[in-house]
Amino acid sequence: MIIGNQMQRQGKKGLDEDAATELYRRHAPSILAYLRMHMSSWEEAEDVLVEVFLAALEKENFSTLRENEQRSWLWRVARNKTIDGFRAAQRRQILPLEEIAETTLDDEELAPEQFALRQEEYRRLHTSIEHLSPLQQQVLQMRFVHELRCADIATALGKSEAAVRMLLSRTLSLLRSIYEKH
Amino acid sequence: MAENEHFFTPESVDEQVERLLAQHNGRFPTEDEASRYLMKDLHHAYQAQVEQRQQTLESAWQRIQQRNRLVESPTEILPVIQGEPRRGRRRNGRMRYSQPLNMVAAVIVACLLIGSLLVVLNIARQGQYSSMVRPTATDTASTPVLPLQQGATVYTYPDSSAIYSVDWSQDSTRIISSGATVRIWDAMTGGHVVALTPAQVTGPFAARWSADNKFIATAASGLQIWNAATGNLVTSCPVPGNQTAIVPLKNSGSSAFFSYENSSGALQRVSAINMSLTDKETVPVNVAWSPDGKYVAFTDKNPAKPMVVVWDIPSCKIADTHPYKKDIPYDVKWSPDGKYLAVATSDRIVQVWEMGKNQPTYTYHDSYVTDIFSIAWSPDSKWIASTSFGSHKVEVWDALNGALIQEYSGHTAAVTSLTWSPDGKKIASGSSSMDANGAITGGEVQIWDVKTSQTLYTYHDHAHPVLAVAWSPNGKLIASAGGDKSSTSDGEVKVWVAG
Repeated sequence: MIIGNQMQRQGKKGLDEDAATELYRRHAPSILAYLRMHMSSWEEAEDVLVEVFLAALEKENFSTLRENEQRSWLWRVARNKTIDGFRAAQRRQILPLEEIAETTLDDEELAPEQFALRQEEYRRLHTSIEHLSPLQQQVLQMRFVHELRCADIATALGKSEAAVRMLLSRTLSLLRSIYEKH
Repeated sequence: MAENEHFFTPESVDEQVERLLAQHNGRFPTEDEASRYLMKDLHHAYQAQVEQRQQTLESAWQRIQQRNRLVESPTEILPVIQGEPRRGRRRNGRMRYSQPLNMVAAVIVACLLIGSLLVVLNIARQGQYSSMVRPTATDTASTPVLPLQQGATVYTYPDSSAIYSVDWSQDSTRIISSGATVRIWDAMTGGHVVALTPAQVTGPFAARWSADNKFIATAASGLQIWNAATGNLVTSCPVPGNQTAIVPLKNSGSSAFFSYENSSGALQRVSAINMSLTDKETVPVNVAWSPDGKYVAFTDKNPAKPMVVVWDIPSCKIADTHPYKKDIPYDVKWSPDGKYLAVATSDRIVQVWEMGKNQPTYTYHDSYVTDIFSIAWSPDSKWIASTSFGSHKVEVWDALNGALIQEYSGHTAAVTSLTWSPDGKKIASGSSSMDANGAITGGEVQIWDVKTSQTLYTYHDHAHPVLAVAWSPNGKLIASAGGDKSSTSDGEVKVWVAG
């Protein structure tokens, strides 16, 4: 008595639980960053992320692929699903860039004048980020929201790692200049 | 300034950021004030998104595990329908069998009793309907009425429009079919036709028999209750806020169901994952009696104010409403024990409601993120089968927690309708059949085993896509219906042997 195709899948070298956990731990963060960049909401990105990994887990012989083959397979599925998403929702507006938080800082242990200064810095940071190019903003989000390193950001953006390193270091140095008089 | 422009260097920007973030978190002494404040403010600016990201990663992983658990440890998901112990990964996997086995024994005894009762009843009915039995039929004690092979068509009921809903009388002798019109007829001969179509209301209609067989509910843009014996209108309940303007459903036809089914290939299947129907308003309404016959639930698709309305019958007082903002309710079904009302909406969800509660008891999200057009409760009220439109699959899940019980992938086109066998062991699902190029060639119904998800039988005898399917209460026959209004403007109901 078999449980339909699920049992058959298991017989065809699907991933075991540990391998699936490791696969997700290793690749989900950067794939989510990529999906979030192209989808208008976290919910949408989550749905596609689930689809991508389920597709891998249900793929026959996925565990026999080499690590870099698994990686490129996951990315190919993620990109295809993103393209499909665009086709399915051509009229849907894509809003890849998110507002950064405008809430004020709650810096404890600061004297009133220091506190005012810090608020001013934060406001300037906010404005500066808004004036960055869309690509710079995306790199910042990949770094500070998705906690990706340059190599992974490069994969998600389809750029060279060297270009991302250059872009991120320049952007951060630029933003740091807001604080240098402090 | 020049110095500061190069504070972060391309070669080591990752390490710099990680070190500064660690300092910001207080783990190391601060070495650079400006960088520390920058990191602190960036952290603050993106904090909300960081939290959302973490939640998304966790939630996605939970969903993946939930869906994948069927592969990992089937014993955990299928403790009852499992026939024999399996080498489970969970330690307590085997412990669960002792209780269910007793219950299974009890159920078998009950089935035998009911089965023998049915045989007696059938013999009695055979006398009553002897004129309807085919002359060539060879009567035997075990199959007194239907000595035919599985899938043998007993009767074909033709109609001039696509038929969207079929329902059996409780004694399995009469069928109510509805599309542009509503008609009741003898299941095996098509005789004694009674038309119930209300005047001045345009279909397509949905129609359902009450559990006590006395009344019939029909609905298109309002609800009508009929005396099933006389065919007289008992009462007519208007949709709230819609008393004056009854909006006929325009251009209703099977094209709404199948407009995405014309191209072919795997890519199309994948791309269908994210699609949703553009023509949702044209899908007919659905209507459902509560098992005690006191209430009727109705899916009001009015785009300005979509909701599920529950009327007290026959007073037409509104007992409950479940308003939706933008998503349109597609299907509504009471659990057989009368406790819950399940509603499938265009938001790709099924909500399980308890009467009078403001919050759904459980909200199920389609695993493939596509529309759910049809749902059906298992006879024991524990599970719900739902059709995942874009993925062509049927999912069976626990009605109160969504745990996946089974997934069926036998169809190559979207499943439009579902029905459980009365014993809860099988499901019949209606869909379209396609040729190699993905063109629709007709309709089909597949019977499959809920325990194994194996296809047991495929009924091919439909010239058009199947839009409705209903198992007879005695388990012997299946009525399946469909049609194609877009081209030839006709429909049919097939009554055939379930096997």
